[in-house]
Amino acid sequence: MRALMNKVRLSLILLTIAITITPITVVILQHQDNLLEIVLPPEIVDPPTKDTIDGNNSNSSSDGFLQDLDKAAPRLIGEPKFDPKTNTITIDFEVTNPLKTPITLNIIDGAIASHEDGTILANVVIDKPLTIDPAKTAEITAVAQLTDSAKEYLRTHVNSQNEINIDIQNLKLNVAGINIEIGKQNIGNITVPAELLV
Amino acid sequence: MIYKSINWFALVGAIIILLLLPISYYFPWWQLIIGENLFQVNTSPVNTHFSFMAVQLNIPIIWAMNVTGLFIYIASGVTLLIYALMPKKTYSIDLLGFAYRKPLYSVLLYLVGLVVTTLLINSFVDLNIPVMGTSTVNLPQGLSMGVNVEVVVYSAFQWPFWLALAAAVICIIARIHHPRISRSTQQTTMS
Repeated sequence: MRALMNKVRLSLILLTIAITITPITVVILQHQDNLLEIVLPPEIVDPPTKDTIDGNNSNSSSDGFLQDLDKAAPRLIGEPKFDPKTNTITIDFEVTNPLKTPITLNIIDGAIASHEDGTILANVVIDKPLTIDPAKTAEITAVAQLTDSAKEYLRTHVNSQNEINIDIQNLKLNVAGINIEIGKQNIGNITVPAELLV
Repeated sequence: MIYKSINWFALVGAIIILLLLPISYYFPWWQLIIGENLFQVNTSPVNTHFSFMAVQLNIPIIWAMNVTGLFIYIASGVTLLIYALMPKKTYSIDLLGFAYRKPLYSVLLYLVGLVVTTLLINSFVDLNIPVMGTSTVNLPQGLSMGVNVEVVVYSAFQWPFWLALAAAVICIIARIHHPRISRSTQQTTMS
């Protein structure tokens, strides 16, 4: 009887050791060429980018997720349009989703300012949510209400080509539940509509 | 009376442990969601899923720990079931000794692992990820290239965790109840 008890006890001890050691041993043997992969798989070191989504691995970025978000920063397209009836200026941007999942831009809020001295020219608000599919580009139209002092500033500060260098300040984005606040981003020269300079 | 020779607490514990296996595979014990499902962690001792931008991440060391967890629960459940039906055998105390502690140790190790991992992340990356609840996390400026990035983080224990805790408590009650069954056996034998 005691022999049976000892056998049971020994079997249970061996079972515990086997259960604990076997899986980790298998994993170590599988990754013996690169043991770092046991804790850091390649997906974490090099997250998916637009290139990998497109199947173009040759240009795959190793800069990481936040660099990809940087690529997704709004880019100015075309020329701003001025509507004298509503006193508003319309600026079109395009935004690319570098991720493998759709993203929703919920809120965009910011100010357009002169790059030269930081004078605020208009506030930009886009409150309509916009969903962008993976690796796709969407257009965002920002409508800015110009104040009389801003119009006066534009008349006196445009260069010979009727251009002014502008920044977007305090840009607030809500992307996939993440609030991103960019203090200052230079957009570059935009042509001021001729109607504004009259 | 066959039912008198069964350790009912152990039987209930064994059934819950064996049920916990498929439950813990498909339903997490603890869940962490960052942003609108931008980063998601679903974890239990038998299955852990990391999802980053809808891409599943597999960490081999965690896979190995999950396989160990799976085997521990199978061994514990089956052993406890055998003991529960035959608690009067001479080797039954060995079976009980092997099986009853494992659910409790699993829950405790899981809890300690979770808290320690969260504390390490919070201290090394300077984040404030809650073990339970909702908080707003500001990404360190070094990580976000000077851009202010703020994200809502939600984490919570799910119902399978509480079921596992209940199973651990029932297993301890089964151990406390064991001497009574032994005594009743001795009394029956003597009479």
